[in-house]
Amino acid sequence: MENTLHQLGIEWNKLIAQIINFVIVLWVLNRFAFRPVLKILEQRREKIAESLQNAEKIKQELAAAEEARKEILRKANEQAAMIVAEAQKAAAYQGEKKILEAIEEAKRILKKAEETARLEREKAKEEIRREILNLVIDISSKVIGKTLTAEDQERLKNEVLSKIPQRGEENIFSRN
Amino acid sequence: MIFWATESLSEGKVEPLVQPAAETLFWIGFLPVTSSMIQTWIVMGVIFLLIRLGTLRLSLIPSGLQNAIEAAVEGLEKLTRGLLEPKVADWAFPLVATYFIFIVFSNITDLIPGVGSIGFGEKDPSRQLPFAIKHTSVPIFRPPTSDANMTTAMALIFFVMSTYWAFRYHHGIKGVLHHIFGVKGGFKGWIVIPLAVLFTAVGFMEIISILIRPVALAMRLYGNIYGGETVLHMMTGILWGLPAVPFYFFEFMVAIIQALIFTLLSIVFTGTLCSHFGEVESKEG
Repeated sequence: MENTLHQLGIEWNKLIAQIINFVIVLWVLNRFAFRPVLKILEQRREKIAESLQNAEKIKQELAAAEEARKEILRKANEQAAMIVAEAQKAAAYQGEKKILEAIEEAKRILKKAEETARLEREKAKEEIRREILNLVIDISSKVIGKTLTAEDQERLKNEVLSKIPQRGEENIFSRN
Repeated sequence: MIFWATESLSEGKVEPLVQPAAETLFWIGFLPVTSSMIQTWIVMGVIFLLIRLGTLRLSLIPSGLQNAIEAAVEGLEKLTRGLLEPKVADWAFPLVATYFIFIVFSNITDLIPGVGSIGFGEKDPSRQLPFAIKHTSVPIFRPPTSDANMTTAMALIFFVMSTYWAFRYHHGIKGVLHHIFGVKGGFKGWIVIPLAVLFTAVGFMEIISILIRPVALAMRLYGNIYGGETVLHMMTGILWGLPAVPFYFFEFMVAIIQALIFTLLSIVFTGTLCSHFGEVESKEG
């Protein structure tokens, strides 16, 4: 054993010196290579994961924006169509209103005309009545041959008036 | 005096081409400075320089040397994590990664011309070159891993650390003893009694195996690199060094493979110590 160790040149002081050398290498590598490199690898891994996540998010957002754009466009189209329809409806309504108004006006004029005609007729009727009255008195006095006294005239008038239909009642004049 | 060695196979030479032990060049106090220790310092310097240059400005977008260092660290981390439990991998990673990096650098320095051939020796008057020597009996440079002191130092560190990890993993001596001697396989009832005898015997073998592991680690690496250096010396000495060309390729591969073997074996040995394989009654098992 001793001989083998001697042949291989293994001596305590050399061995300890090499142990110290190796421990220094170990410390330096661990301190300046392994730890910082592993840290940066971890950082990079996180960064890449984050970037991928962001890319995914951006893609989603883009899709959402595209969807929103389409939605807005669709709504705008809808609204435009609605407005046009509304306008058309309003125009149609306006036209109809005008026609209705015209019809109303016409009706009103017609009614007025009828009213005027009725009033005229009434007036004519009244006149005719008076005319008849006078005629009756005239004829009566001629037939009798003497001038009627005021008293007689009054009596006759009342008699005739009672025979002639009153205003508003349908009578012989309306047939003419 | 330093001489350029012109290698040649000296006839009838009893001494090996390359001394098994690293030669002491001078002393600093009680410390004998050997050729391999000088090269250890050189290798350390090169590693520190590369690390410093490569990690001086670490950025998220890597470039140049940072790429190489990152690739090495990441590869070694994956290797460790692939073979060990996560918490054991955290403990072991710095050590095993350092093994790989240091051993690769040390082994490859073996291939640099001048390593093992520049040194002291008997003067060769037949050569025209100044400082020509017959044989480099005391080289100035020698790969750290071709010195048993370095490989033994690394193996000792591994032994101490793996034992410490085992105690930490199994929560003290009781857990470790249970891991080594305990009846595995989840047997119940009377069968446990003969099995206990068997597993005690297995446990003693296991202890011998655990003790031999660092020796095997140290000697495998030392033997390979020392042997390789001897072969290169021999081959450069015949036929103008032409036979050495394929051996340079071969030794380059050996340099990397041996570093990988040392690293992998230390990971695997740690794994066998720090695991609950076959222990059904344990929490993780």
